[in-house]
Amino acid sequence: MRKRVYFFTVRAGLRLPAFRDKRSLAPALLPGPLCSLSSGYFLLPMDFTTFLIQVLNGVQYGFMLFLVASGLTLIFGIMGIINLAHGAFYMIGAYLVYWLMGITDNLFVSITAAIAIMLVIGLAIERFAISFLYHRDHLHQVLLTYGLILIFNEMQKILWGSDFYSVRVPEILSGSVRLTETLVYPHYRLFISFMCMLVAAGMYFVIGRTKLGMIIRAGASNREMTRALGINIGWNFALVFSLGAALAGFAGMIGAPVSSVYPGMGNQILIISFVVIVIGGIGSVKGAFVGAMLIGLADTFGQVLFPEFAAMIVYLLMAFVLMWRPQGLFGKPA
Amino acid sequence: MTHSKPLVFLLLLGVFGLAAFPFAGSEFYTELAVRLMILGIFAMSLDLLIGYTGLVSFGHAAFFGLAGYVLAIITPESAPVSIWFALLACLAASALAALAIGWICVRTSGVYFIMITLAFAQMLYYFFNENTALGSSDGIFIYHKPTVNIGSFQLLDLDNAHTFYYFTLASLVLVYLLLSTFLKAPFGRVIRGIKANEARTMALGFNTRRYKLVSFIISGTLAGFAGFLEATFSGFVSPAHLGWHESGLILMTVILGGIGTLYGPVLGAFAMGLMEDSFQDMTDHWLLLMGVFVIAVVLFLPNGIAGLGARGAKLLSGVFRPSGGGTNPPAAKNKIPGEEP
Amino acid sequence: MAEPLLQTCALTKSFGAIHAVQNVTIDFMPGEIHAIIGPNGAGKTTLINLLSGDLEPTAGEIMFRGVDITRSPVDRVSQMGIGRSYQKTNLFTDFTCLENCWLGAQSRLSSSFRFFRNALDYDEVRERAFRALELCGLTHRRHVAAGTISHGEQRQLEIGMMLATEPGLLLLDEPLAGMGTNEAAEIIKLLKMLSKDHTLILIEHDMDAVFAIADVLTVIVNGRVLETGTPHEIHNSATVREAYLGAPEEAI
Repeated sequence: MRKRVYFFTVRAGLRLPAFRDKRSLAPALLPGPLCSLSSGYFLLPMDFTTFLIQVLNGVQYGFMLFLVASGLTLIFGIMGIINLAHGAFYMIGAYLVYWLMGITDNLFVSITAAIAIMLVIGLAIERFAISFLYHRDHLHQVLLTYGLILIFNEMQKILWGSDFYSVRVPEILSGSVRLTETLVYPHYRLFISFMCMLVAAGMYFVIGRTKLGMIIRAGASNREMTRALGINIGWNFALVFSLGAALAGFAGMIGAPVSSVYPGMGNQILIISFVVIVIGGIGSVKGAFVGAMLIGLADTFGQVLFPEFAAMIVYLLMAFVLMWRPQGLFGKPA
Repeated sequence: MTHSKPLVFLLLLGVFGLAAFPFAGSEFYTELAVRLMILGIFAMSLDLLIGYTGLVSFGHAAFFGLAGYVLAIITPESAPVSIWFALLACLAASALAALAIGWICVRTSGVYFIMITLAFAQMLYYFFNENTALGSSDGIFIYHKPTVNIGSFQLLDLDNAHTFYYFTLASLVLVYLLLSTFLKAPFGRVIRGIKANEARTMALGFNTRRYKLVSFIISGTLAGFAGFLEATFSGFVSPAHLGWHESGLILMTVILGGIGTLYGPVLGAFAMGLMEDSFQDMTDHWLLLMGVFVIAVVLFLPNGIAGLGARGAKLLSGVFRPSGGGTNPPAAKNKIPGEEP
Repeated sequence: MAEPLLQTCALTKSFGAIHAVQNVTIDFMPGEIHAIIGPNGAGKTTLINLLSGDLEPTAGEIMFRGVDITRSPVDRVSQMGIGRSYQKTNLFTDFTCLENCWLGAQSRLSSSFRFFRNALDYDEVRERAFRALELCGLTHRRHVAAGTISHGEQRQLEIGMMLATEPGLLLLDEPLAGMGTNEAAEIIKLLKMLSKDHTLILIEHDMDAVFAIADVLTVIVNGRVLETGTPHEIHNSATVREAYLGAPEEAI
C-alpha cells in the first residue's frame, strides 16, 4: 500500500499534498484501518482521527489549488485571457525556492525573494507576450500560452534537469501534532493551510475594499463595460497578471517541501485548476474557492476510498456539475 | 467547399506527388511521410470542429489514443485480427467516447469548451496511465498489423511498407473527400452557420446543440481512424498518445496549416513534421525551438499557410475585383461561390 | 369568430426585481397586422423575445395554434412556423446574402442531418431562398457578403432570412429602424403584401407607419397592457393619449 501511494504520486504527479514526505506522513496516512480499507473493505467507516486527517489534507490541498485557480480565473475574468502557462508559474515558484534554498538555506527568505522574482516574471510575460493577445480569439491565446509552456518546461530541463528535488522543511516547523498513539499531523502542513488562509483573506480584502478590487469586480462581471470605461489600459492588466503569477508561484513555493520539485508539476496543477474554475464558474473568485475545496476534498478522500479510480474522480465530479449547471456553480448563465 | 480550379489542380498535384514519393524518397522519409499523412488525417478531423463548427477542442488526442488502445486490446499476442473487426471496434469506441464527452461539452461554449475537452482527455489519460494491465505509463505493444482479407483471399498486406504507404494515402484522400462532401451537404451549411452565429442559426429553427454533437462525433471518429492507423503503423500505443501535448500539437498543426480549409491542416502536418525533424537534428532541447515557433506562428501567421496562399491569391485577384466585397480575410474565406441557379 | 392564432395568458417576465412584462394577455388573430407600441423600456422587445422562445417566461402561458409553446426553445418555435427578425441586425456577416437566406430556407427540410447530397441540389431550398431574396428586394445583391451591404439592406436581409423559413406568423422587432425613407416605404409595401397570407406581430416606433398598416394595436406601458384596439380606437383613447401619445415626442 505504501508503495502504491508513492507510485501514484510520482507517476501521476497529480496530488499536490503528495504523500512523499514518508518520514512524517506515511504513519499518519496509513494507519491500520486504512490498510484494511484499501484491501477491499470499502465501506468500513474510518475512525474519527483518520477522517480528521483526511479533511485537513483535503482542505490544505484545496487551499493550494485555490491560490493557483484564483489567479487563472481572475486573469480570465478581467482580461479575457485563457492562460495555459499559469501552471508553469506554479512550477517556476517551486524551482525558484529550491534554487534559493541552496543559496540562503532559509525557506522564509527564499519564499520572499522568490515572490519578488515571480512578480517580475509575471510582468515581463504580460508585457512581452500576453498583451498581444487581448483582441485575439481564444484559439490564439491557447496556442501562444501553450508555446510558453513548451519554452518554460524546456528551460526548466536545461537549468535543473529531470531529477526530483526535495526542499527541507524549516527546523521550526518540522514537528508534528500528536493526535493519537499512532497518528500525527505535521506542523508544516498546518502552516501551509494557515498561510493560504492568510493569502485568501488578503485577496478577500483587496477585492472587496480597494480600488484595484473594484476594477477586478467590475471586470469580472462585465468585461466589455469595464473596457468601455477605459479601465483596461496598461498597468491594471499587468498588475493583475503578475499578481496572479505570484499567487500560483507562491503555491508552488510553499508546497515545495511536501510535494517536492519535479518536471511537469505545473501541467498537472494547471489541468486540475481548469477543473476547479470550470466547476466554480469561470471568472468567479468565490467559485474558485468553492471549487478548490470540493476538488481538494474529493481528491483526497477519493484516493483513500477508491484508490483505483482516484485520478478520475475529480473529472467525474466536474462532469456531474456541468450536467447540472453548464456555467459552473457561480458562473453567469450564458 | 466548392473548389476553384487552380486549387483542385494543386491538390491533385499533391496527391500525385505523394503517390510517387516512395519511388524517390529513402525508407526513412517514406516512413516519415506515412506518419505525416496520418497526422494530416488527424488534423483534418480537428479542422471540422475548429474551422467549420467553431468549437475549439483541446482534448482531441483522446479519441486518437483511445482507438490505438482499443486496437491493442483486441489484438492478441499470437495472431493478427481482421481489419474489418478492428476498424469497427476502434471507430465505434471513439464514436462512443465522442458521444459521451460531446454530450456534456456541447452544453458549454467558448473557454468552457476548451477547458472541459482538455479535462476529459486528461481523465482518459490518467485512466490508461494508471492501468497496469495496459502497461500503465510505458504503453503497450501491438504485435500484429490487422489482416485485410475478403474470405480467405488476402486483399492487402499491411506489413509491406509500400502497401501501408498507399493504404494511408488512400485513407487521407478518402477522409478529405468524405469531409468535403459533408461540408457541401446541408449538414455543412448548418455547422458553418453555427460557427458564424450560433444564436441566429438556432433562431432559424436548427437545434444547434444536436448539430454540434454530431459534428463532434464525426470529428472524434475520424480522429479515432487516424489513431487506428498510427497504432497499426507503429505497433505501439502509450498514454502520451492521448495526453495534452498531443492535443496541443495537433491544434498547432491545424492553425499552422490554416483553419477552415481541410487541405490546410494537411499542409500543416507536413510543415510541422519537417520542422520537428529539423529541430530535433539541431538540438536536444528542440521543444524550446518548438515553443518559439508556435508563438511566432500565432503572432505572425494567424491564418496559417493556407491563409498565406489565399492572401497571395487575393493580391493577384484584387486587381480585377470591382466591389470592395472582401477587404477582411474571413469574408473571403467563408465565401462559397458558384451558387448561380 | 375565428380562433386566435397566438394567445398569451397572464404572461410575466421578471429580471430579479424588475418586472419587464407583467400579466400580459393578448389574442393575436390570424391574418392581422398586430402592432405593439409603447414608450422605450415598456417591455416590447422582452415580449417578442418571450413569444419567439428567446426568453423563458417567469409565469403565464403562450399558445400557438392551440399548442402550448410556453417553454419551447427558440428552434422549436421557429420550426412550428413562427419567424422573427431582430431589432439589432443579426446576420451571418461572412456569408453572402443568398447563403443567409439559404440557411433559413434549409430549416424547412425535415432534417439537415443530410451528409452526402450537395446542399445546392435541393431545389426546394433554392426556390425558397430565391423567393425570400426577391421578397426582400435583394436578388441583385445575392453574391455580396452580408457584412458589406448597407445598413438598410441588412435590415431587408434580416426580414428575408425570416421569410426563407416560411413562417405563418412573423415577429418583427422594429423592421424600419435605421432605414431611409425610400427603403422604409419599400418595407411597408412588403409588410402589407405579406399580411395577405401571413399574420404579423410588429414592434415599431414609426407611428405614421404603424397607424398606416396595423389592423390592431396594443399599447404597452411599464410591462402592462394599457389598451388594445383598432388604430382609430387607440388614436381616440383618452388613457393612451395621457399615458403615451401625450408625452411629447417621447417615443420617437
